[in-house]
Amino acid sequence: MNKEKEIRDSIKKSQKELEHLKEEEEILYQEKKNMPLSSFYRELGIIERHRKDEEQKIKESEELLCKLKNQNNDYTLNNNYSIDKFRYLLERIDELKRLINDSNEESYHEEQQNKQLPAVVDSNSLMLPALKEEEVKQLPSVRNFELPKVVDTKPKIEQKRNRGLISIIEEITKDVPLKVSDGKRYKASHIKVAKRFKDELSSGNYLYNIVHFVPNVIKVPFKLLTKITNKILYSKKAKKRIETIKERVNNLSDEDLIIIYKEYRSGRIIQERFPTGLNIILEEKMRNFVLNKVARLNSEIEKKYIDIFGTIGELNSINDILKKSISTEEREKLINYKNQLIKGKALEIKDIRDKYKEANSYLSGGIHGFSEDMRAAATKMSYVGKRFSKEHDLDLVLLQKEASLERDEIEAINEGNDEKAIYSFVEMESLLSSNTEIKNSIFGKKTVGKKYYNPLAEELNYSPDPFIRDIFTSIAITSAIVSAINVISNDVKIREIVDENNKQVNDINYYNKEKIAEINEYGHEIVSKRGTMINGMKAQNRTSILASANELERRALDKSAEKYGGWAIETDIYHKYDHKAHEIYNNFYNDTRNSLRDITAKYSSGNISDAEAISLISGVSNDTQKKFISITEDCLETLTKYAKEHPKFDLSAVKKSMQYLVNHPNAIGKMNKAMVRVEDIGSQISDVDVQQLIPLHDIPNSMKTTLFAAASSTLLAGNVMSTLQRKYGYGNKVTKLVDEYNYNLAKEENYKIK
Amino acid sequence: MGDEKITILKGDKEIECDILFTFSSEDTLKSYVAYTDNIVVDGKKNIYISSFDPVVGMGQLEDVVDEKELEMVEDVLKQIENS
Repeated sequence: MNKEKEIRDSIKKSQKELEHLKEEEEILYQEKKNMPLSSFYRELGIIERHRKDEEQKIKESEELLCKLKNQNNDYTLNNNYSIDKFRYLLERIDELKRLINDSNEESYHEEQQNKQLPAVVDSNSLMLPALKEEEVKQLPSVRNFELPKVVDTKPKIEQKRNRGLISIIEEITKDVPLKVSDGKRYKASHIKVAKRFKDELSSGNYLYNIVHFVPNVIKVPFKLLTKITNKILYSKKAKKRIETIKERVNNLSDEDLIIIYKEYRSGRIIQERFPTGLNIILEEKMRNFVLNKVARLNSEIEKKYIDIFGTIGELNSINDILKKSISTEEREKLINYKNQLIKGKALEIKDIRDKYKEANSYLSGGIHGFSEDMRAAATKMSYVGKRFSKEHDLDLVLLQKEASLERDEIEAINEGNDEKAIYSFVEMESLLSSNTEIKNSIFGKKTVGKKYYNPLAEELNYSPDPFIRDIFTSIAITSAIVSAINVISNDVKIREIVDENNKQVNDINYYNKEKIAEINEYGHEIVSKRGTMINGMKAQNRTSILASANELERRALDKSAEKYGGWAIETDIYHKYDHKAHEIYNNFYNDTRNSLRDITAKYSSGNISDAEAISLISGVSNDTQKKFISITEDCLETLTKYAKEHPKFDLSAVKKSMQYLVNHPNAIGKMNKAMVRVEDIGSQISDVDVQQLIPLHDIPNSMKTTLFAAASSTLLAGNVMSTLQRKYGYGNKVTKLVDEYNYNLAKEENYKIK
Repeated sequence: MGDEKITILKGDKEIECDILFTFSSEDTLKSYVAYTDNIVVDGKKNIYISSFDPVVGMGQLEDVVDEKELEMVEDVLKQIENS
């Protein structure tokens, strides 16, 4: 006791000293301006050191005091204590230890329902009877006993979330209604660098100015964008080696595959420098392996969805009944049933979210995968309708709702509140689903909603925008048109036939001057808007039209020939011409086809990219495109002659179709520039009256033969690709693209391609 | 990429320029070419950046004035420098 008093007195003394030091410090600060800074800091340092010393003394004294107290708190034993009672106490302490340890592993709910923690031993309240001397010797050393730490008995949810992704997004976008085009950074691809420039840039010897300038180009290297890629060509021996490796890879265990999947990534691949052939095999196997895992996960997710949504129905029914007047007994039974029904559902929902994340992580791992996913999402290739999917500005209200539901769900899972978890979960799924809209459009189905609900993990579509195929198509069309026009306009033999024809009908002056003037005017408009022509031709992608139009035209011409006489002679000439034109057309068809075939062969085998394919095709049609305007003028001249000299030839149909073309001058321009707002184009095209295009059937055969060469060009491309696929076993990527394009166009205009 | 050249008309003069780099963009569906006349002014070389429609070809070049396109050019330069 004396010792204790001594320590307490020492503590008091130290505390007083601390108060005194505080006063000294205050005085020092008041005097600061009147003294040199060095003196001020010196004095302050002294005070600080004293303060620390006193605080240390207090701490040590308190510890000592504590020890003394503990020593004095021995169990006081009275003579009535029996060893059995003490052993009973120890057993209860052991039980406590066990229960506390067990509660850390078992679920919170079971713990609550089935167990009760034993009373904690309060050493101050326990009075034990005294032991006899010999019994004391047998006692274990109680002083050394320490109760285990009582840990938090709430369920250990790994990575317990306080908020989710959507809440984060909500926070960062608060009061900032992002627009569709905000913050978009264009991405460059197919970068090719002159070696000299690369070295120069790295050397840092020069600085550069970016200069704005639009030059007149005199000469450019044509094959600048040609890319050299390595195609893996297997020799017979190589093929055997590859097959052997493939077989072994297929026999690998799941454990081995997981190791490859986890470790053979990114920089490791670069480091090891394994042959490309091996990497290709491994990639293929990994893909299958991962996709199987994802499929299994998706299957489990599906089952859980069914369970949850099944539960919600029943839960709603039960809650409805509980609102009504029912007996106490019934209510009790119903509540018990409900509790059983929803028991564990919070964890199940957490499992759904976790499995979904796991599946997604299989599909796109690492930052590379993440970037690829972003790119894939940006191309909209994973949405229904692909690039025609509608983009939306950020909807803050929707985001708020989603964030709120996400918070509720997380809270419910953390609390283990099954009912709340179910309702939040279902509400969230409904919100996503109701904001998902797939609409029918002229391009087929397309995503228009603000969300794209897909509860199962899905591999994103990483293929490039199919717009490239549209360019390919229009180039094919253009090249076909111009080739054919070129031949017909310039071929001497054809000219001879035409002239002969004209000579023989020059006394027929059944023509419509006004109509011709109008046609000419439209013709000039078309010349200045060549792209529009292409668009019109693109819509004429029907051999059936060509076939029937041909037939109609001939019949019409023949009839008029019979009626007006003199034309009978022309009929022969006409047919001669017609036959010749078709022959020439067919030759050019073949030539164009061969040129395209070479390019598409390279494209479909992956030797060249989309951009390179376009460039090469543009090379094929480059010169002819430049000539297109002058050739169109020639064509108009031919048309005018026919109109002038053909008896009672009705040009109103021509006028209608040309009118349409003139009224939509920007359509193809926009398509060629890769429209951003695809809906605008979609609505433009949807305004096209198909009936407007039908009159194109009736224009003279020469025009048809030339302009309608385009009508089959897309099919031409498709045929070429089909042939390639059959003959060379190429991948059907391009075939599918072209077929799909044709099919969609056919569908929207109710034409069948024969 | 080897030493490719592009001959342009500057005023009345024909100037042969070195093509420094090319790239494409799926966002704009244009291709781009950067070239220089190698003339050093105040310690700096001029880089001319032009775009062209891959359909039409490099025979017709256009100036690059759009901010986002210019950002993209800067990104490309950085990539080249860091590669």
